[in-house]
Amino acid sequence: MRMGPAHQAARSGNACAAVTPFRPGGGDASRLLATLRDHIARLEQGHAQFEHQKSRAAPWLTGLAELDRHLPAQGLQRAGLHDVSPRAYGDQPAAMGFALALALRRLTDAGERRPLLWCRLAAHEREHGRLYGHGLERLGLPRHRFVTITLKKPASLLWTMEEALKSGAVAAVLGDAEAAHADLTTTRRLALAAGAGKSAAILTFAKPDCAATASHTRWTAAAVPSLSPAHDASAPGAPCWSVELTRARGGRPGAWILEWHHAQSCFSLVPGFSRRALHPFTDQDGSEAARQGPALRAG
Amino acid sequence: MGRKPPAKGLPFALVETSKSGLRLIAVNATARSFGLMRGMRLADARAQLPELLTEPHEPEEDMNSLLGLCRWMERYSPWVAPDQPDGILLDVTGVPHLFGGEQRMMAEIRQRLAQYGFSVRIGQGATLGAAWALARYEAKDLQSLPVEALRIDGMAAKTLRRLGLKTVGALLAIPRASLARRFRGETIGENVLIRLDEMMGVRDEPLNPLNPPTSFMAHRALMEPVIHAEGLEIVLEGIVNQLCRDLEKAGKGALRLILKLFRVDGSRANLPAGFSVASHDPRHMLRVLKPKLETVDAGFGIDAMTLEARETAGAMVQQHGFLEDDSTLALEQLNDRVLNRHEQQFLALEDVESHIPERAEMPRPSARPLPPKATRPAPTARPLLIFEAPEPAKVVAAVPDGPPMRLTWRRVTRRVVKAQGPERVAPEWWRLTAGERPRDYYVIEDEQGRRYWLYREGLYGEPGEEQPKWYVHGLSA
Repeated sequence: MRMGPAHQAARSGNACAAVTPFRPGGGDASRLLATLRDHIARLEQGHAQFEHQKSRAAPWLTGLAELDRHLPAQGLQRAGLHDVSPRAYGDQPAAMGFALALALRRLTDAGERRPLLWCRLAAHEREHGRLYGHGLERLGLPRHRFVTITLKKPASLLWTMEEALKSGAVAAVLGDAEAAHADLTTTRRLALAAGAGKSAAILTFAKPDCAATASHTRWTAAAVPSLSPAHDASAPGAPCWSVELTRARGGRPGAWILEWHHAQSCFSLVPGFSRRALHPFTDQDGSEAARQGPALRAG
Repeated sequence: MGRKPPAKGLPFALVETSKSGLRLIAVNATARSFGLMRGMRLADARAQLPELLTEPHEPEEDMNSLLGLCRWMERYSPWVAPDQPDGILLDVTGVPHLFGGEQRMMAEIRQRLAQYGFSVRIGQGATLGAAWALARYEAKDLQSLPVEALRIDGMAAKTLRRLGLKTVGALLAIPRASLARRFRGETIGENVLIRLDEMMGVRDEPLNPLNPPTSFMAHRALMEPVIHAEGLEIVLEGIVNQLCRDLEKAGKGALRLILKLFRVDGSRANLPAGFSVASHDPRHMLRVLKPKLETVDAGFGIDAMTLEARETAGAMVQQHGFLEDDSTLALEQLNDRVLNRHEQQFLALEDVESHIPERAEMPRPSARPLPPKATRPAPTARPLLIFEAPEPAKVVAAVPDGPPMRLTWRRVTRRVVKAQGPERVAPEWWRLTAGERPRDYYVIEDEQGRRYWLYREGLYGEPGEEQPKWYVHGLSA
């Protein structure tokens, strides 16, 4: 029997590594890949976290195969830090909406009963508005699943987020971030705190350009014209966002146009060309059409 | 005050401006040995003793320092009250054994106050009146005190002396009825019998303490002053555990705590803390109090700590339901920590029955999310974010009552591609708010896909009313 790489990897790795027997005869490339992927993930994340991720709840996925292919094998890091920034000034509500949609995907797990905490900065509330419960319900977040808090200083907000994550009392924390305060060291602390408390943290930045952070995945979001509902051709439909995954630890970057369905808490993919078909009167100067393929960016 | 006291041994007096000129209101021992007295004119005093040092008398400063000294005396007992103008009353029931007995306690107080530069006379008795008297008058027992020790008016004291009653013992021999008949007046200073009863303990005279003391208190006096944070934390753990034990035994939890730290230089630091839910969990208290302890300046050292539960409530027994886990408790404790550190707490957005959008919701301070309840059917379209004050905008519409076609807001003009509406929101007629006009809400989407929730206030063509205005009320995702 040939000693395949999987076998060798399993032998040299942890003692608890599952040793999948390598069956010669081909057709097992996918199994080999899966084993290798598991092994690498285990080495990367540390044994305990990996086992937790694998054994317990459902993976945190967006539900779309095209998108999930770009994420690490177990989906988004359930106990990690992610961030979403707007692509331009004015896309901030879209970024917040997308962050909420990601958090709602995390909450769809039936075993997760903890609530969500949304931390807002007073300055952001003055500029973009405060959270409106009826609107959150329309996006799929019921009132009995979240609490919110408004803080004045970015440092106190980051402290609150860290404490909330460490305590393990919440399933996910969303927080407004300022690029000046959310640098590598503070975000690394948040990521560690998230791992300790087994909660997820999602930062939403207010401005487009922001420095490097220690997040597991980084997204940018922008608003995109929505698809009208069937009964009314001139009414806005479900929220549509142009989403780009710029950095994913263990995954590949990519860009998509997504539509969010709040009733089922799921995304659907909007093919690029259909936007133009639905809006014959808007003058597309080509800038939107150019963002069709994935915009790969090193990072 | 900032002014240095004069060196020991120099004559010093406080001077007050009265209607007959500058007079000495207080003299120190050295000046008194030279023959100066209270009430002398400054000119006479200076003539007698040219090198007399003087400072103007400031009654408020005296009062403040007396209060400060009272607060420092709280380390001996929480029942402290000032006795104007220059005395302090302490109720030390049940306390002396902590300091090694009554005599040792008095000696320690005398010695500490002498270190701060105070000369003090201490008296101790079974009642307030007795202690007051024994501090001011020398006597071997209560009976031999002079009648002035009864805290009565000068007139009443003079009358008693004229009647031949010079000591308290003599007064006690007189039948009570005749005393009551003879000395009857409106002020308590005239009522000799009442004062006598108070001194003898027949009549109760409660002390009005500066701070109402609480029944749950833990106190630790240290043998050596502690400066470093680790030492303070160890003491804090001790008193927190003690307080929590007491609270738990009584079935109560603390809602408001105050941690008092007494420094060796006589000052005190107060650290308040509060909880949203009554708690007697020592770990939770420590997690809230430790960050506060770090903010305190220990000065030259801290030699006593007191932890008081100012407000308590019956502690709910934390019974974990079958499906509930202790994450709700963790959430409440998290709320307490954030509240005590940053003075902001968690809010749950509560649904209010109102169709005016800004009134349809109320943020309520709540450590945990609201329980799910049967809600009304969700209104049609609502934004993710809402502005506190709707921002005015300029809108161009195809027809006056039609949906917007162009929106100029925050100095940017956008073209509207999609619109949904209008949703008519009329003012609530049962609230007589003047000037409220009906609103027509539209959800619009511009060419880039950004969505706004705006309204037109007022209707076109209404006689007598001004032109309707447009406002942006919220943003959608």
